[in-house]
Amino acid sequence: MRLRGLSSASALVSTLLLSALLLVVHLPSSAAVLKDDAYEVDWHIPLIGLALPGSTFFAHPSPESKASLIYTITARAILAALNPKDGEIVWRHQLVEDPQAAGRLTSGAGIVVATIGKDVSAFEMSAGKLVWENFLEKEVTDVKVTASNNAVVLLEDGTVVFLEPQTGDVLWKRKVTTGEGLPHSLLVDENSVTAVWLEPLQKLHFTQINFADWSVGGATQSIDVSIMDPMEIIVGGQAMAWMDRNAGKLMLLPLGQKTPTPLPADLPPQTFDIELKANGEHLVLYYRTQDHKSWADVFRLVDGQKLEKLYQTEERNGYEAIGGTISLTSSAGKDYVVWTLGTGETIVYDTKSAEAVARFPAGEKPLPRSELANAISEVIAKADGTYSVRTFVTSSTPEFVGNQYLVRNGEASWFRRESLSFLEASTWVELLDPATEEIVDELDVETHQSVGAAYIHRVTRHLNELKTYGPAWAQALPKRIMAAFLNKDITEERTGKWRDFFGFRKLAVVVTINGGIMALDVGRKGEMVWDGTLAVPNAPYEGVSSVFVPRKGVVGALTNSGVYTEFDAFNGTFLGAQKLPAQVSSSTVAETEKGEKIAVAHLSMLDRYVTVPPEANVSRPIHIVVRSKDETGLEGVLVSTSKTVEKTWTFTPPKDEKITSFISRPLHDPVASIGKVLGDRSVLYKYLNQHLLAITTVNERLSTASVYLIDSVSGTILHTTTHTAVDTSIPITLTVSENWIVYSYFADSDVAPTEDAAKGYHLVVSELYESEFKNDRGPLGNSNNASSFDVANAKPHVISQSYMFPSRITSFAVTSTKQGITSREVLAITQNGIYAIPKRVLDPRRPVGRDPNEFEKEEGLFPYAPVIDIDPRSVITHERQVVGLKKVETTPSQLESTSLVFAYGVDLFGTRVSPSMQFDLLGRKFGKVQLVVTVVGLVVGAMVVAPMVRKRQINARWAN
Amino acid sequence: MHLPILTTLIALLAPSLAFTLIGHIPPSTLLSNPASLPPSTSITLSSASSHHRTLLRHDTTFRFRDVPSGSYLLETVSPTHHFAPLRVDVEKDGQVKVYQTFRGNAWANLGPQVSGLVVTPVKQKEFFVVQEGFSPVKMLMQNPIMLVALFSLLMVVGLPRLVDKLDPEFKKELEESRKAMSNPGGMGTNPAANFDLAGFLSGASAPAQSVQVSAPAKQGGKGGKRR
Repeated sequence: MRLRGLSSASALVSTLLLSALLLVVHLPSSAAVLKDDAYEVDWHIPLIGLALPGSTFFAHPSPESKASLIYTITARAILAALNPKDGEIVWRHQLVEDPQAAGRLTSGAGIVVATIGKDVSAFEMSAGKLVWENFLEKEVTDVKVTASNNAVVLLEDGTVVFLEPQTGDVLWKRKVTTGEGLPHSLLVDENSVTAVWLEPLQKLHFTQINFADWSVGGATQSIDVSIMDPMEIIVGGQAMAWMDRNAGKLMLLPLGQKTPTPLPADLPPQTFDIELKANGEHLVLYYRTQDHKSWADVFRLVDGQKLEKLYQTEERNGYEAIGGTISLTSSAGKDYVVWTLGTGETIVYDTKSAEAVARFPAGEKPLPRSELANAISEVIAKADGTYSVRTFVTSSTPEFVGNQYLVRNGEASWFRRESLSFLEASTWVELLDPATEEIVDELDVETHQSVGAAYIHRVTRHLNELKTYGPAWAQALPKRIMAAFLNKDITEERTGKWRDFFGFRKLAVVVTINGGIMALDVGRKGEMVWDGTLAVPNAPYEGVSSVFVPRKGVVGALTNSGVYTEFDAFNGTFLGAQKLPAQVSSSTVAETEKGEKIAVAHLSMLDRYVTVPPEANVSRPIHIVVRSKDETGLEGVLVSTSKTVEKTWTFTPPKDEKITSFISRPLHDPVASIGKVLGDRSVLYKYLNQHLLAITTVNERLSTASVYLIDSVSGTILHTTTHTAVDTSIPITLTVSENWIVYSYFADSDVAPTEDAAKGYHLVVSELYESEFKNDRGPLGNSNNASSFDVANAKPHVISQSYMFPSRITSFAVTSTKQGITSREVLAITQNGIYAIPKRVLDPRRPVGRDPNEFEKEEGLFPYAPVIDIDPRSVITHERQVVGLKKVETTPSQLESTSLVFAYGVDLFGTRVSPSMQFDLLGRKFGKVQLVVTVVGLVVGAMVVAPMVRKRQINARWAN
Repeated sequence: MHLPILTTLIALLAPSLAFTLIGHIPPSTLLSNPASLPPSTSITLSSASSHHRTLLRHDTTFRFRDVPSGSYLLETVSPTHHFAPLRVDVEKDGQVKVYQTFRGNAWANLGPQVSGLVVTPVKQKEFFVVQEGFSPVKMLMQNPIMLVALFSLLMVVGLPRLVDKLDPEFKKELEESRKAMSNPGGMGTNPAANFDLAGFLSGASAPAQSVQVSAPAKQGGKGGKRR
């Protein structure tokens, strides 16, 4: 007689435990964005860029709305509406990806009209929907909107174009300039439009065109001027000003006037900047001088004829005055002059006297010391005689151009760090492990002591450790376990330079195009940790060549002008700068034996290579690849341990081919397995070459694109592919990792007739193997060492597969994990955001035209499909509207399953991805409590049942 | 619902032999109000060296200006919906033909012709995967092993009680009828066929003995009472 009841009860418990375990292990088959993680692990900083002066204004989105919005077009060609309350973006559009010209923005009834290049478009003010758009023949110089909502555009060739208000179609156009005339601007009134154009060094012309019959009304008016370039004319609202070369005086011309008025007094000496603001009646000139003074002159137009100086404001001194800016605004029929100083301090004048009507001292948290520019203000006069002012200003401090503030009554109410929209380089900074760092220091002490002292030191250290992990620590243990159990946030989250337990926190050090350097905490929603500058006083900043981590805790940046600057990676302390003898034409970052990094910079003017930092040792020979002098080919350069430099090889593409990009394997690219295990237990050995270099070229004449794989040590060509019918105007994007490359291009049979080329974006994957046969290591055999120079006879076996992809890919990246065991994902920046394509989808061994056989199934291969569609669940930016991304950077975390991702361009985006799911981490909402309660419940159940069963069995025996 | 002016495709002859294409997104079952699409919804028209992009207008139309004749791929990108790609052929005389197209097919392979430049969504985008948490109910109710275990537990504990609770007369009748049933089978039948489950579970001896006399049943009854 078996103890059936008991056994089934215990079976029950064990099954439960087993299934609970199974549940933990059970994972969805492909990686995707989890609902619980979205908006928790990822972060996004939407940016717009530097707001352009003259094209930024407060406006009411509709006549009924009480609150106004800030409308602006930026240097990044983004048209945006901001909420002045909190600085949030109400809506925005990126008008063009790579703006070549500055945009302009103006408003009409319910619409804003934006122009950039040849493009003119109108958007609804409230929702930001497109109303109409048009492409004109020439670039736009100025745009205005008439009272009837028609847009009038002045083109660079001097043509005035009048557009239909509903469709944006051209109603009429008329060329106004003659001869060498350069168009300047447009003035619009109820019945006519006046084009202002310049005959250099001769005359400024005003040509009026009537709307009624599109005729030129009256004669063109002209003023004698001595201006070379329309850029010399300062325009501020309803007036213009210029320096007259002959008179040596500043001339002021309220728009609509026939004669300019010279400024009564001469310009004060040492004036380095004049700002002009004007409306129909008043005109303000704001002066800044080199001896750190600033003030404003206020004028009035009397009888629409004569300029009369009303008053001069007080004079202010110091940096706050130099950083200040002025604005002129109307409210309830009165004009106000708003002076915002560099600290945020605000002074409001009316047009009666030099007595300020309101003063707002700088708030408790003054603006960071910066030069402000392009202020726009709103003044509200309250019934009790007090005023409320808000001013939107942008920073023009060289390295942080574009940062935007809203100053409300002297205090900064919000801040947009728009300098981040201009990033051009980035690097990862590893944080320190608190456990090892402490011990390293202690061990260091011990090695420098005598044996006895070291012994005592060690014993004390152990005793101290006993104290640290003593009763107090043990007492806190249950609390910590409870906290972890209840999914509470880990309260003692590490900050500063100490990394967290899972290594999710890392710093991304980024460099802006204006020379600002900043560290962003990728694990903490992109929070800024420190900032600094690479710009050198009194020298133009020319961009950064490379930014890297030369040794632990230090960030080094090498600029194109040849300045190498080091910062403390954790707090941004300036550690020193060195000047190289010449400009840097290119630089490559390489890793030395100790894992430290050095840059090899090419000084083309001296035809020399130098290592940076200069004092760093080259512990092993470094092979780098640079563009050859005439930019047509590539050269391999060997930097030996004694820092002598030698050219090793040259790669010249065939005639008509142009190198578009070259890329080598990432510095951190661990490979977990040297072969691919097939379903029949045989192995296909991967061709793993640390010096693999991929080069893309295009041939514009034949419309072909080629990919060359080269060994960067010997210069041997390992593999070549050429694709026909390629649209060479679209860049070919490529990435290299492990033993494979992935690239994309646009193909079209229209450009070169080929057999049924499919129109659209193609995605190609090529994998490199040592041999085409299984269990075969190719010509290199089992040799332990392989030289790049033997590789000539050991070319890899390459297999490729090509797919259609529904979107253009701006850039690729590959996920990176600590050991490389986790399968990889290819991250592609598409029009839909960042799309993660699992590497197993891009597997050239997928069977074509048939079902996979038994072995292939076991290997996990699935049939080839010509199209890779974008599954929104694999879009790691998910619902977020991420604009203008250009580059994705990945780095491993401390968990093998997880790779950190940071993307920049215009917006910033960061997240964590787990291509093989989080096999080493429980999900965020894993029900630990439920699990334990269930198990405890079952154990209790079993304990209750067990005596009953036992009793029954005893009874049964007695009954027998 | 359809606005005839909008559905018709207009190709205007421009001086530079470039044409204007006008299309729209009509209300459909998936998208009853196309005006609710986000303002960033964009439409691209691509051919070699000729890539046009426009945004969806406030009246749910879109238009491409200055499109030279050629064969184009039209794609619609919206943050909320998937749209099927179309092949748009603009002929030299300005005639426009629109076909459905399928990615991955040769370009010469035409899909069914569509009247007018009309794009409709094919699917709503879903961005997230909901990860299942640990739920005891789910674990108990959807796991076959668990169901078997639960069933046997029920048998162990529940059935004898059920039998005990029966009216003694009825129980006797039941046993007798069972005996009657088992007798015709004689000795040659499989012992398992007339296995006295209730008796066995309530602690009776081996089922094989139950064939002989009524004793096992009695014992079973006793066993039950004793509890």
